[in-house]
Amino acid sequence: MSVDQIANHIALVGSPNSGKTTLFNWLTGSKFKTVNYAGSTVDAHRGSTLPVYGPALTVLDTPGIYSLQPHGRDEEVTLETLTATDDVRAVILVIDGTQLNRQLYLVRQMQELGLPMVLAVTMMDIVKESGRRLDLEKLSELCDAPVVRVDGRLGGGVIDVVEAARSLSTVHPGRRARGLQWDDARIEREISVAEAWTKLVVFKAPDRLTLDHLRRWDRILLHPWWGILTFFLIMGTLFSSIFWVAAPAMDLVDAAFSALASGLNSVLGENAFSDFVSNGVVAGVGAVLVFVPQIFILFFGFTLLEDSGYLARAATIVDRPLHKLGLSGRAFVPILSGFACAVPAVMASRNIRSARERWITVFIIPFMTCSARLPVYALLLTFLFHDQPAWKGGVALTGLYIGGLFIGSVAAMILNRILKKSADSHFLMELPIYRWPKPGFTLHIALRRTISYVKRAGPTIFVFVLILWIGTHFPYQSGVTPEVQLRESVIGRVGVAVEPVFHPMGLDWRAGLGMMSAFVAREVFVSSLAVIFSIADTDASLQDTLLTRMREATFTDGRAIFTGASVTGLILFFMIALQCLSTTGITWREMGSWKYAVGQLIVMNALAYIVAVAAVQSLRALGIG
Amino acid sequence: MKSLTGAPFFETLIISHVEGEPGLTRRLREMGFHTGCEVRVLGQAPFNGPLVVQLHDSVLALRQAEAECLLIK
Repeated sequence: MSVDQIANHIALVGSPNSGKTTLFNWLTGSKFKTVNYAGSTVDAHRGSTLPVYGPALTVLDTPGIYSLQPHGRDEEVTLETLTATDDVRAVILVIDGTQLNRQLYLVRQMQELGLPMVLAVTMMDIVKESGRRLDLEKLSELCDAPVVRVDGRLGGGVIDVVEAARSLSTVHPGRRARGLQWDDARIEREISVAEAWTKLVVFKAPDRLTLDHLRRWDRILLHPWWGILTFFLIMGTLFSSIFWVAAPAMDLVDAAFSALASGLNSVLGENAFSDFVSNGVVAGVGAVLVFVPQIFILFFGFTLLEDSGYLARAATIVDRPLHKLGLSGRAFVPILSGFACAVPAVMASRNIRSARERWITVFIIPFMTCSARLPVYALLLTFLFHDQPAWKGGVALTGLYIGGLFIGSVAAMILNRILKKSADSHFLMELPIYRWPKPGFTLHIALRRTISYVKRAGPTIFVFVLILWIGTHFPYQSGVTPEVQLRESVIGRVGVAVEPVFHPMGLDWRAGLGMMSAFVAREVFVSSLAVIFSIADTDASLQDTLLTRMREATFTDGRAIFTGASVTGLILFFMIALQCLSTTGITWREMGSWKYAVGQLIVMNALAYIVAVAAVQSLRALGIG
Repeated sequence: MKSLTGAPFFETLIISHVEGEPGLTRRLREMGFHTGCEVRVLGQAPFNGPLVVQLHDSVLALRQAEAECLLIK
C-alpha cells in the first residue's frame, strides 16, 4: 500500500479548558461538519484545515482528557481515536501555559503512546499578564517535540502548528502502544518528572505569583449565600430572556410566513397544489420555525456561560442538591442542555464518570422542558389564557418548567432507591479562570448550533407534513366539505379507529392524530393541527387562525373538543411524555441497550397518559370544562 | 493524621499522602494532587457543597469524600 492510500489524520488532544476547541475553530474555520453543544466535546469531530494553511489536512477534535488511562466514556473516545486505527498520523497536543505541571503529565503519557506530536501552547497572554515567562525552547528540548505558541484570540501561530503537524505526519509511522497501564508508583514518578520540567521551563516574577485575581469573582459567585442568589439570578435571566427577548422576533417570523402562505395562495389560485404549498409546507414548517429565535437565545446563553467559565461554577453549586438525588454536579450540564434538546443532552452525559449516575441522568433528561415542547406550550397556553393578562401565561409556563424538573427529580429519587448502590460517585471539577466572552465568537457558535438544530429538525417536519397532507387528501373527493374529506381520507380512518384511546383525555380523533404525529417530534403537533385544520386559508396570522379553528372544533354531538379540561390534560401529557424518536434513538445508541430506551419510552408515556386522563376527569368532575 | 476536610481556609498546606479507593486516588494524582504538593482551601460551595481548593495555578472543586483522601501534614 502506498502512503497516499493511508488516511492521514491529525488529532487535537488536550485537557478540558485548554483552548483545544478554539484552536480547532481556527484550523477549520466554518468548514467543520458537526457542532458541539454546551458542555464539551463529547465525540471526535472532524474538519478540514482552511486553504490559507496550505493543502487540506483532516483534523479530529477529541474530548478533553486529563489522562490516557480513561475514567469515563468521553476519555475512552479520545484514546480510541488515537489507538484504534493507524489513521491518526500526528497529534497536536494543546497545552495551557498557565497549568504546565499538570499538562506535562499528559505530555509524558503521549510520549509513551509513541505518536509524533507538536505542542501548541495556549493562554500565553495570561502567562504574561501574571508576570511569568516560559522557556519554550527548553520545553521543546525536554519533550523532544516542536513547540508552538498559539494565540487563541487572534490566531497567531496557527499556521506554524499546521506546518509542524504536516511534516510530522509524513514521517513513517513507528510502533504505537494501544493503551497505558501505569501503576501508582509510576504515576508518582511521572508527576515528579513533570514538576521538575516545570521548574526548568517556567520563570516567575517575584512580585506577582498567583492568578488569584482572575478568579476573584468566586468570592461572590461561590459564596454560601450570594452564590445561590447569583445562580438563580443568572438562570432566571437566561430563561426569562428566552420568552421576553424572543417575542418580537417570533412575531416577525410568524407574520412573514402567513404573508407567504396567503401570497402563494393568491398567485397559485384555488387548486390542490396551491393548498398543498400553503396549508401543507408553508404553514407546517412556519409553525415550527417561529420558535427558532427562542432556541437561538437559549444556545447563545449557554455559549456565554460556557465561555465565561461560569458553567463549571454552576455545576459545583448544584452538586450537593443533585447528590441527594443520586446524581452529581456533572449531571448539571446534561440536564441544563435538556432544556434545549434531549439529543445533545444525552450525548453530553458522557462526561459523567459514574455508570449509575449516567443511567439515572439519561433517564430523567427527557422530563426537562426541551425547546420542542415550547411550540406546543405556546399554542395551548395562548388557547387557555386568551384575552387574559400576559403574565398569567408566563406564570403557567414557568410552572411547566418547574413541573418537568420536579417530576424528573422524583424519578431520580425513585431510581436512586431502586438501583444497586455503587461507590463510583465522585465530583472533581476544575474551575477555569473567568474570561470575558468574545461577543462575535459567541454569536458565531450560537448561530451554528441553531442552524444545526434547524437542519436536523427541518427535514423531519417537512417529510411528515408531506405525508400528512397526502394522507389527509387521499382518496380525493370533489364537492365535499373539508371535514368529510378529512374523515374519509386514509389518515382520517386511522384516526377514527384509535379515537377510543384519546376519548378519556377528552379529545377527538383529529386531536388524537396530532398527538400521534407528535411522536415523530413534539413540535410536529402544532404543524399537524395546522395541516388538519387547514389554517392558511385566511389572511389572519397563522396562530390566530389555528386558535379560532380549535375553538370552533366540536365532537359530532356538538360539544367543544378543546376545553379548559382537555387542553390542561394535553399540556400535562406533553410535560411528561417522551414523544421524540430521535431521543429514543440516541438513548439506545448511547446506553447500548434497546431495553433501556424502550423501557424509558413506555414508562414515561404510560405515566403521561395516566396523569392526563386523571386531570381531565377530575376537572370535569369539578365542573370545569 | 488530618485530611483536607476541616482544614482552615486560606492556609497553605502540604499533602503528605493520597489514600483511598484506587480509581479515585489515581484521578486525584492525575489532577496534580500528590505527596509534597502545596494546596490551599479557598472556601466551600453553597448548600454545604464541594470544597474549593487551589493547587498551583489551578482551582478545583471536590467533594468532602474526595478531600478525605488527601492527608495533610
